[in-house]
Amino acid sequence: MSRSSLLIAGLLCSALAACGNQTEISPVLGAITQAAKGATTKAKGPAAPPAEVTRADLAQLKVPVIKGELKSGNATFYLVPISVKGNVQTWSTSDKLTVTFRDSVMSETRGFGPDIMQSSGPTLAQLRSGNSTHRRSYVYLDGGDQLIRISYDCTARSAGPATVTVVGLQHSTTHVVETCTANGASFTNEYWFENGGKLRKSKELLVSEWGHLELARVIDGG
Amino acid sequence: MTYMAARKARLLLASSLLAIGVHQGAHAETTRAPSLNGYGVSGLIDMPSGEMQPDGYLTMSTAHWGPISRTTLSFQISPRMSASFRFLGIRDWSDCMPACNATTFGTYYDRSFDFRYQLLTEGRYIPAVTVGLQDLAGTGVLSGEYIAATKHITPAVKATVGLGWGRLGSHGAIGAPFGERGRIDIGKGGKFNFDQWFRGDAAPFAGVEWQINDKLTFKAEYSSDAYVVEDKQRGTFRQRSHLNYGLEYYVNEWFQVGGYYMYGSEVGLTAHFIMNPKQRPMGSIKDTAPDPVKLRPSRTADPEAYSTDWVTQADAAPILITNLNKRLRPDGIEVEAISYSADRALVRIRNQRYDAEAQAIGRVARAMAHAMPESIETFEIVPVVDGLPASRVTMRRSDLERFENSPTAAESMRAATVISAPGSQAGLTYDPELYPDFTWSLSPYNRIRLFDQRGSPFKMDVGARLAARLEFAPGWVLEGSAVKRLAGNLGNIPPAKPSALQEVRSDVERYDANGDPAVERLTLTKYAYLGGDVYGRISAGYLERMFGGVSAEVLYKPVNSKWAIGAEANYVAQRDTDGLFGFGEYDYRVATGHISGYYNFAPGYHAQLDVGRYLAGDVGATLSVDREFASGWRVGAFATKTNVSSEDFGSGSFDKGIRLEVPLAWGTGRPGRKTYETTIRPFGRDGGARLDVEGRLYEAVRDYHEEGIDAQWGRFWK
Repeated sequence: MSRSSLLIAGLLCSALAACGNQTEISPVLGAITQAAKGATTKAKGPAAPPAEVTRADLAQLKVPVIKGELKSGNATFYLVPISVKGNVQTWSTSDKLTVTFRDSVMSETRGFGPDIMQSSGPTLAQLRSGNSTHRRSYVYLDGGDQLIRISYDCTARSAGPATVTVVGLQHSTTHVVETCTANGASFTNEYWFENGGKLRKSKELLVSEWGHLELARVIDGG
Repeated sequence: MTYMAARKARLLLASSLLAIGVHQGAHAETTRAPSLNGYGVSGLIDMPSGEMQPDGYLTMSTAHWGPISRTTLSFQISPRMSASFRFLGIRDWSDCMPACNATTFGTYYDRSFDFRYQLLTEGRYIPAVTVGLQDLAGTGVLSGEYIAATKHITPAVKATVGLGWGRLGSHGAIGAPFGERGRIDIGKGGKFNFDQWFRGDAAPFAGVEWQINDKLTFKAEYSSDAYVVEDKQRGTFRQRSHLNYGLEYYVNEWFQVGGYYMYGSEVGLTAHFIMNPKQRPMGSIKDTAPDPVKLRPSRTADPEAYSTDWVTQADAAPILITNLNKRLRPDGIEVEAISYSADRALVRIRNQRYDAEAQAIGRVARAMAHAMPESIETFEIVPVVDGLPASRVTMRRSDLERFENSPTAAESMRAATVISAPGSQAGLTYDPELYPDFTWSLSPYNRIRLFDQRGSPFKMDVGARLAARLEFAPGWVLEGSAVKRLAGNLGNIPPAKPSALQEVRSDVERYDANGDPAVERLTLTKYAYLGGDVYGRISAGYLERMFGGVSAEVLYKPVNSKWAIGAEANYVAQRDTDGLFGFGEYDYRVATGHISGYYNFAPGYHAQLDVGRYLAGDVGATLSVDREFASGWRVGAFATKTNVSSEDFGSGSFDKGIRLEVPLAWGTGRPGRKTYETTIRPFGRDGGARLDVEGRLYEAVRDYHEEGIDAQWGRFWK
């Protein structure tokens, strides 16, 4: 390489981003590159809506699948089980977003950002009874890495029969609404139970600023 | 499953969370902070108020009206205490006093420090009351003291009344309650003007602030500042009124702007940038989920699984290292060595990624739960920095299994975790692929010179920096960096100012100008853990831009203590200004070194005292006090007093400054260990100058000591 082309390569390195084999040279530039990528993606216009995922597509995975939606983030994701420990199950997407259920009730999340780090709450039977008074407590990490606990007083009440459609299949269910309040703040979780007691669908709080995760059990375990 | 089906499944399972991240303000909702004034402190337009910013806030304000420009950095040191550092420029500054016709005009630059203390916080009936010292040292062009009271009348309207002295008592005085104000004895500056504070005429000021809606605020004030110097003496503008009013626009929590009509003659503009080191703007760190802890079968159900035969297997160590690294590399963590017995395993790790040390340890613990044979019950994790083991974190594997999904996961796990000194490092098997470890980078750099009174107060070079590091054996590091300027205005050498001392720092302009390209550093360093709580370092070579030689350091830092003590001895020669390899230009050699004490005297408050001999041969001490935040932010101030007289030191009388350290992760909301550091010295001279050697031990190891890990323990399970 001639001297001038070396210089040009060097200038490009400096101008565009840092070069080298270090894993973390200049994250500022990394962030700018990411932002630039985002901008170029955006410049191509709105992304085409993802192709409709059918029940057949999901059945091909040959594992249980939960369809998750975060309405506030306009996001849809599909979870498969990766860990079972007693009544605690952790489900994950392939890009490492996880939801953990204790007794089928969402108890932790990871990978979303403002995750539920730990929590305590009602049993599935309490919710299913449609007549329960209980406490819930959620622990989050704040923007300064400190754990903050928010505790709520909750009641669960049956809201009567309801038909829910989960990826093209209708299910007859009993609708249960859980209302929780704490110091003026409140939220509502919803659950749809089938006759056999199976929780088919739920809408459970992630964090108040972000809203709920909607979780539909699409493909059940064998 | 066919390839296509598998591919489709993979795509399906990848979440489409593109939209997430727009509104990550979780938990950041706070009540609105008090607004700032044109001096960059809580206040109205030109007058202060009785309010304080929220604890820890760091604000940067820039205000411009008529000939006057002020840029202020303010820090809320504690809930009731704040300090500001300001750079002032006044244009159209007449060089004849009092203002006359035939004259030349220039720009007057000055720096000032303020200190404010809140006596009362606002209650139902009582106002917030603050006393303030403005421009409390040095030339005192802005000097004024005040007591100000602010009270909400309605939730949207608040009123301020105050009494000012100095320039804040220069219009509409009601008398001099505490006696006459003497003249400032400037000397070489840098002295507190105790004799002036709250002396001389006192004058009232007042104002109102009305928050019209979420975005707009109206302010009006009556100013007690007569601008005697700016108007009457230097003729920079005409003050026609003492009423100021304007509108402020609240863009968001972090940025606000304002427009004003000032003193009946000028238009003013302000912009305020607000940072909260306690909270990342984007909330909790976003990172991919960790692997869940893998449960072992119960010993009674599967006793075979707990066989210890593997211990004698010849290649067990390399296999375990490979398996651990497979899981940890995506997390930016490397296992560099391992030792084990049938029921206990120790891993030495390098954490390149996690700003929260607890998260790195949590990730390693999970990886060990997957990769380690079932018979191993005790996990020991030794974080390594520059080949230096910093501590040892010990936990039981069964606690990890038990607490992972507990409603008290973080607290329970912390109670079951022991953080101790690194201890014996015998019997380690190293990853043979890790050494020699070579990294290099070519990246942009900038070099900023502030407050250069000969010309522009802000000068900067930009260019490219080539850096390389070779760790050829654990703790042996050969590293260096060189820079090439591409653009900038540091190339001209201003006329030399005579210095009574060796020009150990004041010739920085010559180094800036002549060193292109320049070798900034080229050093060979050995870091060593000396056992117990003692760490050591010895470095030789071109240690910094201006000095080369040898540097040796020892540090005693118990893992669980709030204090540490260290000693550093250096023998160095001053390098040539061309930034190459010679020492002939100055022919100056000096033995320099310090005994250093470190003390975390209250949660988040840190002090360091260095006593010793400085580069110019002067003897004295440096006191540094920093506020430290779990997020990695650090804001502090330091002052050095040596046996150099104020006269010999020159402007500023003694060395002092403020320093900031900002973690990149605070801004990106993603994990990362990179931080940006900056030191602002109002007057950088030759007295009290310390060698700027890399790799000092205290900062290297303390992150992995108890306080460093506990500050972000919540991220163990993240």
